[in-house]
Amino acid sequence: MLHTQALSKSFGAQRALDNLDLRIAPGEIFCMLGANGAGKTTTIKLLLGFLAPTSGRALVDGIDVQKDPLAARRRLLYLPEQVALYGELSGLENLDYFAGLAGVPDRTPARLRGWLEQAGVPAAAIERRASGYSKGMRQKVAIALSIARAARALLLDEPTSGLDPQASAEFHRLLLRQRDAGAAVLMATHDLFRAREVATTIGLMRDGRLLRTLRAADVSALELEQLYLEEMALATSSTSAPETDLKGQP
Amino acid sequence: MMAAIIRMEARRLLRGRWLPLLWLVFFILCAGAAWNGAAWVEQRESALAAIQADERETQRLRRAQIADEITPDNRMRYGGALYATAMSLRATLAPGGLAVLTVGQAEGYPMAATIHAFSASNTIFDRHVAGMENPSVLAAGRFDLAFVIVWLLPLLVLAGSFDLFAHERERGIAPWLLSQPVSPGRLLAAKAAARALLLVLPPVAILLAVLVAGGAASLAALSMAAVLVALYALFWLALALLVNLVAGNAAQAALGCLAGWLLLVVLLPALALGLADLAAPPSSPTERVNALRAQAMQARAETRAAGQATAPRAPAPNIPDSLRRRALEVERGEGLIRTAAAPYRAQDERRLAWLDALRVASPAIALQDGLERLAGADAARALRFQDQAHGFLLEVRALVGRYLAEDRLLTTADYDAGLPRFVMREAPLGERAGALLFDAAVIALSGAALLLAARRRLGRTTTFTE
Repeated sequence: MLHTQALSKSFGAQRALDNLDLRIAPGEIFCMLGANGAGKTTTIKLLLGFLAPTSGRALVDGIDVQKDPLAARRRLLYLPEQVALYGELSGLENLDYFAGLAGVPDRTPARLRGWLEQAGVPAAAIERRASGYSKGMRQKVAIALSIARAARALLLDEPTSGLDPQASAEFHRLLLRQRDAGAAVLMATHDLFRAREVATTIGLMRDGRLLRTLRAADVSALELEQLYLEEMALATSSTSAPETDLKGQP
Repeated sequence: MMAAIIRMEARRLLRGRWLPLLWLVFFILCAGAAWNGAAWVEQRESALAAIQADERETQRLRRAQIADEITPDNRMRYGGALYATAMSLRATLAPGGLAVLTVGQAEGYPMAATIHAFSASNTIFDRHVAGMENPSVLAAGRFDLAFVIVWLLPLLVLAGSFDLFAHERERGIAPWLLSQPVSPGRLLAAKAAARALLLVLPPVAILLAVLVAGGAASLAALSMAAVLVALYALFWLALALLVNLVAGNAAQAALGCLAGWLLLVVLLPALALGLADLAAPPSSPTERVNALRAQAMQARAETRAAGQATAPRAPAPNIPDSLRRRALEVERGEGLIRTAAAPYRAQDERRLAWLDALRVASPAIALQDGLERLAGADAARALRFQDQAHGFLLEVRALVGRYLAEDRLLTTADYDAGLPRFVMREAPLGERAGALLFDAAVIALSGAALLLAARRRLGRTTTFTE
């Protein structure tokens, strides 16, 4: 469903993504782990068509994102770190607005309400203005949109950062339901433990490169943390090593 | 799908309560300006009615003199009313069909002319240059509908659209919005269309309502006013759209829109006027009056010198020869005046041509010009009236010349048959429509240029979703 072929992106001299090959099947959750600047968000933006690749291709359901971004986005739902809604509209009206943009037909109030309730938005909050919604609540509206659109792939950019543990757990439950419904999920996150819990596959990224992929079922949380820290430590030593060498020269 | 987006965007905009408030403020401004305009029209019509009543009363008195007062005995003493030179006529310029729109340049030109056969053509307007009825206008500017539309309507449109997309970028809604399967161009077009419905149509409807309430009845003129104003409002919407593609947040967008308003409404019209002053300065009225008066006096002196040499006729004609000499003097003076006036006229025409060409500098100038033409308060109409009043003067002189040549006296029958009357012939429809269409084209093409720039910017931008 989500597929990248030797995907690279440079900003001037800086290589933000380097030769990424990725394939995420329906019903699979792929978690990208890595420090800031590892290339996670760049990957998501390339898959959305927000950025043009320097080389390689990004495909959604076999559609080249650069050639037909709208067709690709019809199959995608994107959840940024901060889902922002129109504060002057209610949750139901926001869902109506965004579902309307996506061309979802038959957006009756009953159906909209149903989608929101499936996503866990409390009935009392549905008609309330979104300006008072918490981050967790806004994400539930986004999940409701995913349900309404029957999105076949989800791109999540650090969706649980800043959420309290209860909201985070609830979000991941909703995510698993989407996965079970057949969605392919690509999630960028810093949350190693949640990633191991929900992911099918985990990718460790650094400096725009996918260093290692692991089956989540094959590693424990502690092992994953150990591996992650090792990769990051390698990064630190590899960047500091030349300085040492230079200093050591007479 | 576009219709659905427009509907939802309109609903979102209406949810903010500021929009009806803007409409209300605009309505109050329009109503106040229309009130002012209607008062000015009423004042001018009263002044013109008084001039016409004066003409009728003068003619009635002269006829009564001929019928009842002049006898063979007192004819030498009071018989002036019998001479065709006694015809006292008026030419008046009525306010245009949509005069309530703007006073425009109407107060800078005469509204009537007093026509006597022996009046020098440079003096027929002397008593009828209206001037401003209220000196405070000099200090504060005129508050008429054209001012509200040209200066304040853009602020209304910009107040409702300055954050057309900057709002989404600032609040972080943009990436999520643009991740939906809708092209940025179509999304922005829908957002602009929703604002066009809410920020262009209601003001145009308000304007038409106050114009009709102010007495405007010409459907064609009202339609043209609606088209011009709608195009102007759409131009400002296009500007807001372009600014939103450049600005990173709502504050930058607001500043950009305000700078655009200052440039196009305040600065460029002032610069255009300055350029016209440099390239074709206006002629000095004082210099012109003095020059023409000198020519008239010279003609009089020359003719009188020639007249002293001629011997009185016997028997004396019905009309004294002194009037014939005066006619010659006027005719000679007219030639000198025409020659002396030609450079001033050419200077004025050159200036008008410059001002006409400078309409393209800003849609605000083009709209002001269009509204003045619709109101009949433009310089071209005023000069047309002056030309026709001069033409009427020459007709009257020719008629009087025939009376002098035939030594014929005026009779009550002449008054009963009706003395010559001035009828203003407006510019042909094609000429007027052409000028208005040019104004409309300037505004529309300026808007189209902004849309093209917005389209190019949209195609180029890579950080649109940041």
